[in-house]
Amino acid sequence: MKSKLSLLAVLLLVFPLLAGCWSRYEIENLAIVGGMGIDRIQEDGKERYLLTVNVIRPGLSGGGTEGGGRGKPIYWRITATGDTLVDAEKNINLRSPRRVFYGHMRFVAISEKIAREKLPDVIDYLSRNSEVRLRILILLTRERATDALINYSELENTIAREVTEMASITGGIVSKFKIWDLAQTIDQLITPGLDPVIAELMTPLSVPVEPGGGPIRILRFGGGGVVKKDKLVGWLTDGETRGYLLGAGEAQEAALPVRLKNQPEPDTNINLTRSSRQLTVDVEGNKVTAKMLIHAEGDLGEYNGKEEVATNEGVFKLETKFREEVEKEVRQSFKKAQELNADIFGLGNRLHERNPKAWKKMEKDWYKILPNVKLEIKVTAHIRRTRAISEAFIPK
Amino acid sequence: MNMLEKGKISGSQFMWMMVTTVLPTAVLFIPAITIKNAGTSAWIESLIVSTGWGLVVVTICCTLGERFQGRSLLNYSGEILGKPLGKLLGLFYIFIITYTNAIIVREFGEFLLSAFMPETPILVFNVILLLLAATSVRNGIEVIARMNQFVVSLMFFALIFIFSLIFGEANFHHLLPLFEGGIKPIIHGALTPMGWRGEVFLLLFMLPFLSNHREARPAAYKAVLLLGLVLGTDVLMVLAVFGKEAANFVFPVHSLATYISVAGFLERVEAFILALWVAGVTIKVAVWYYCATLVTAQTFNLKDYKPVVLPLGIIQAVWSITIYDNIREMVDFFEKPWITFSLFFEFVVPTTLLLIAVIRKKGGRGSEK
Amino acid sequence: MFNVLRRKLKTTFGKNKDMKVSHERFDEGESDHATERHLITRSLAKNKKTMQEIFSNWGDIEFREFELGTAPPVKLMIIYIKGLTSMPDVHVSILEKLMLLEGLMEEVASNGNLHLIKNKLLPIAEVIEQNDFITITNQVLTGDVVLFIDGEASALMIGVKGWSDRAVGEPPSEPTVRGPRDGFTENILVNVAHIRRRVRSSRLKLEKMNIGLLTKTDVVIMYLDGIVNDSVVVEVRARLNKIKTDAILESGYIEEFIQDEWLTPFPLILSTERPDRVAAHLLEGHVAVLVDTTPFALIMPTTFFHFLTAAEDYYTRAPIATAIRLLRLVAINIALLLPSVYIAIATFHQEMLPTQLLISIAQAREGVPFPAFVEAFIMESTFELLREAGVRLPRPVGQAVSIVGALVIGQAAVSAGLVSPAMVIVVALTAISSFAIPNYSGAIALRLMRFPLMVLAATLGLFGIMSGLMAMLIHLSSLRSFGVPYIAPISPLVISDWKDFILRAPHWAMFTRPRLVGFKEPQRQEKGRVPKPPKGSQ
Repeated sequence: MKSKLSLLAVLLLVFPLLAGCWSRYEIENLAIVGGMGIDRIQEDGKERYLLTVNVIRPGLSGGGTEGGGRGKPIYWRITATGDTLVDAEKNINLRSPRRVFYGHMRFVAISEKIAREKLPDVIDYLSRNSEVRLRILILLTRERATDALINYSELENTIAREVTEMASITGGIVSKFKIWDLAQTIDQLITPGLDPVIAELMTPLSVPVEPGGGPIRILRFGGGGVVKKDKLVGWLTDGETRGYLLGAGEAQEAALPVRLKNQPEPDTNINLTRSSRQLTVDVEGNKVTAKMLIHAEGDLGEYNGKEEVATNEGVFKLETKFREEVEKEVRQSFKKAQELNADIFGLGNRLHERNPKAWKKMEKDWYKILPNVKLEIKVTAHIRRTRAISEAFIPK
Repeated sequence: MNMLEKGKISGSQFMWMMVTTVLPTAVLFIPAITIKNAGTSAWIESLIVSTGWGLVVVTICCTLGERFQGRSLLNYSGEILGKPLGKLLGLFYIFIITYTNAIIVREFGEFLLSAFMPETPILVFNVILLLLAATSVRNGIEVIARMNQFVVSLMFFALIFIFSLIFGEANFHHLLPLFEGGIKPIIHGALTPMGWRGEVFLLLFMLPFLSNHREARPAAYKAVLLLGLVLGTDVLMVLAVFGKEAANFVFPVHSLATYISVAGFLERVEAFILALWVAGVTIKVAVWYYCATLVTAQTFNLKDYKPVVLPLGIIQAVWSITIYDNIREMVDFFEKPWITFSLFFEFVVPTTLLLIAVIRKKGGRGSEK
Repeated sequence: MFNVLRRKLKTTFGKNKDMKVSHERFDEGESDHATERHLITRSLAKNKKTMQEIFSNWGDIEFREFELGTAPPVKLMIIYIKGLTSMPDVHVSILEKLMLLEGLMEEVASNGNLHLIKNKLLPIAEVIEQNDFITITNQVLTGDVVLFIDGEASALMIGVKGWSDRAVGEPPSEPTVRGPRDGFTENILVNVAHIRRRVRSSRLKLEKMNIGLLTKTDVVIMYLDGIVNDSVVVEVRARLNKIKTDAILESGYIEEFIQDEWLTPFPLILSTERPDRVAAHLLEGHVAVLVDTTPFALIMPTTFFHFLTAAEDYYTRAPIATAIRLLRLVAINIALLLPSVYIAIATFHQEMLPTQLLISIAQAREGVPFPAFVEAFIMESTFELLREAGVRLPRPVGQAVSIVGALVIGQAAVSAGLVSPAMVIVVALTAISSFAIPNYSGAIALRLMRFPLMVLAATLGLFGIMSGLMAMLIHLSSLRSFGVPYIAPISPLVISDWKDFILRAPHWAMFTRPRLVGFKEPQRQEKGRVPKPPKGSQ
């Protein structure tokens, strides 16, 4: 009797299923989205959202080497407008024969206009959608986000992959931008005392690829937008972002041109190979001091000078310059942050973590206190190696 | 009374069944509620406070069980309270267990629906879960215990899998500041989970089946401690990786699983975790279902519990749909009414029984009547 | 007499009383010949007549009358079935010895010719006196020669059976790379001998039975006394005794009669052609049942995992064996789950695939008219058809046709745009994995379970698959084979048996027998005999 009933159970399982399957979508009924762009435009006198998605055309990408030739390009860029983001999303189906599928979307580009006003709405829309994964990358654009979803991917098969690879691999090589994913962005946005810097996606025009064709847009990263209290307040340049990353302990590899001698142009390049930072925020009465300790390791990348540099003194000199350069960069970006009155290094957060009582008192007025915070930076820099050769080949 | 079920379970089977009574759905739901109320101290609460509460409940239940070794609750409650009240207690528990089981089924259906297949009507999930559980129940407690041993290892594997792979993303700064807000958030955050941990009171009904009743107490303690460890780690991990934003995730552990990305290729594993979870929840539902059937059969002095399985199943299926209109009601229920509800039947009733038994000098240590 | 009358009446006047007749037959426990019990007479001529009546219409029964070489000569007659007796023996050991009594005393012993012949003249091991026609008939049917002596009230049954048997060779269903290559044949005596050669203990017990009213098949129960669980032996015996049927043609018939549960795809009794396997199981405390006319022996009680192990696991070295078992575990999972998982992921959980893979699959599925489930179903069914067909084809052609057929059909289907290449790969992998499962009945069970899982996957995705697996688990948990839970040692959790479960511990580490079967004498060997080179050697 026992197993008879279990068999009956199995049979019974089948009956309700025959009635219909609700959540099934065949692969060929899906429009796989690689990236999304969100803009705000004027339409019919109203402000509306413009949603752009890049849908991958499976027949043309992957496998063969024919992509990008005559005929349809690899991506299909659809746009749709709507009063709300979800409205715009549904309106995509006015043009698309397949159901839009966000499970493989890799990045979202948000235009400056939205970042200045409506960032929380976008974040809410993205987090509520269960298909959207927490690892998608959040990017800001200065111009229209829809331009950022270009059709042309250089090395990888799809744009989504290009962006992802840049975020994970190449971003760390130059340390001039850092792309955060959705979970990290949300975390930073809701942390009190921290104003995140979100990477910027640029789409400059470039020379035409085919003779006779027009100039094309290419992808470029660098710099970032500072978001304070859920609103974009300003932009950091490449260099400033590098300083920010150094100060936040997120810099990995970077090139730091320095001058060994007093001269207008740098003659040496120190490669940063690793860095980390420790931050303490002390409060005495009403005075807040932030002490940043940065450990930097590097090696000698390039030397155009004429003196000996691979000696103890030479290395010592290099290390001094290294320290100074790092400190300089961090201060530069701190200065910019203070101009924007944004706490990009998370000083407030650190205070909150270590000294919650003090934070509680200062929280409300933090942005008034911030311009008066004294930042002490101490850098320990080590040059470990000189790469493949020791002294430069200087002609005698 | 013991004619209903001839099976016997061992001490370790007993322990694992108690783990299953709580773990599968607790892992899914507790972190969000705890973090919402306790903030960064949520993991302390989970590791220490809730576990402590679990130990309290277990001690009371084991003591009560030891006084009436080998007999089922229904059997000796008649002695303690007098026949009519004893029957009333039986009816009371039938209702409680069935109702809670319906909640459990609904919980899991909601999870499956929001996380994986939003278009499917929840009835499908609930009915299938109950069907599977009903089949296990009909096979008797030994079979349930055996399957449990197997399924529990699957669940632990899933949890270890998630935790070890996500460990790289943990940022323990999220746990600072420690003890923010002092004791109050901890207590506040402990209220709902306490109800969950106290679910181990079900051991009261499983005690008669132990082949060696001396193993009851150590097994029970071990179970509570293990639960504390696992659920504490659960909350800790969620908090470490996501920070306080996790309070807004409806199913933080699921989000944790989606977030796993190792070496660029081990990604998107959450559906696989889900599959293991289905097994776990099915067994949990089976255990509760079994206790419900048992209590019903005992209260009405039936010769065999098998005929009760189907009617109870239907009741649970219907209830699982009707108890809440939407997920908000469900979470609300957990935040407020559940606390008193669970406190009452997990703690107050057994304690009262124990006290009355002691006062009226019923039962005794090591005496078999 | 009265019984014959009764029967005759029933068949003449009753309408279609076949059933009743059979019942009676079985109840009376008699043979199917409408002969009453009666004894032979002293008259050779009368006996001959009776035997001729019994064996009327039997073309292969031979009657040979001759004379004993005494003086005066005594009339003798032998009756035998030509195909079942060993003719050289008939010639040399019987006829020659009886007819050519040269130089022997012309003695008529005081006890009579019977005594003389039996004790002094027939140099044959098995000679039994018999005086009842029914037994004589039965014995002749098994290949004995019956010798009627004129003037004697008993006949002699002479055991000179001999017929052509298949030569002992490698068991075709269970080949191994390493290990003995003698398999069972259709002769039960030879089979028992194979086992006796391996288990040379006086504790190896053998019980003979005869099952099947028309086939009278020899069935033998073997077990190791003192190691085996006696209640299992009792149960096996009881169940075998309960069988009352016409025919037992193969051990599969017996299997169906004595298994615990018929409504399950999972086999509850292990069948094998390998004597070494039977011997190994006997040594662990199992009971073996051998059936004449089939090389497949039955072993019980069994657990599910017996069907997933091969004899070779014990002959190769422990690390290798463990690795291969792990591989087999993977193969089992693939064989059971791959098509369903493919369907589930492609239809419900597309986010699980890496983007590149998803695009490739999407690309491959452009233009395919069927949804994933139909595609999978068609391909899987086709493959099962090919497999069945391959079994029926003659050996040299069969292999080629099934492989080539599968590939060609798969390729053609892809080119025609009926299925996607990914599906062909899935089916191929599944098929190959199912071949890795050593035991045929186990493999079939899993192969069959694939299909309901595919249906569940197509309707409810991974949840469906998991529900299906849970239902299977519930079913498996409730199965018992002669008292042993079917999925031991997983549940009940018997850790000590895990040394031979997925791992295969080295032989020097296997000190205990599987607990649920061999608990009567748990210890196999001494502990702690790790092989090491002797101390002090360089």
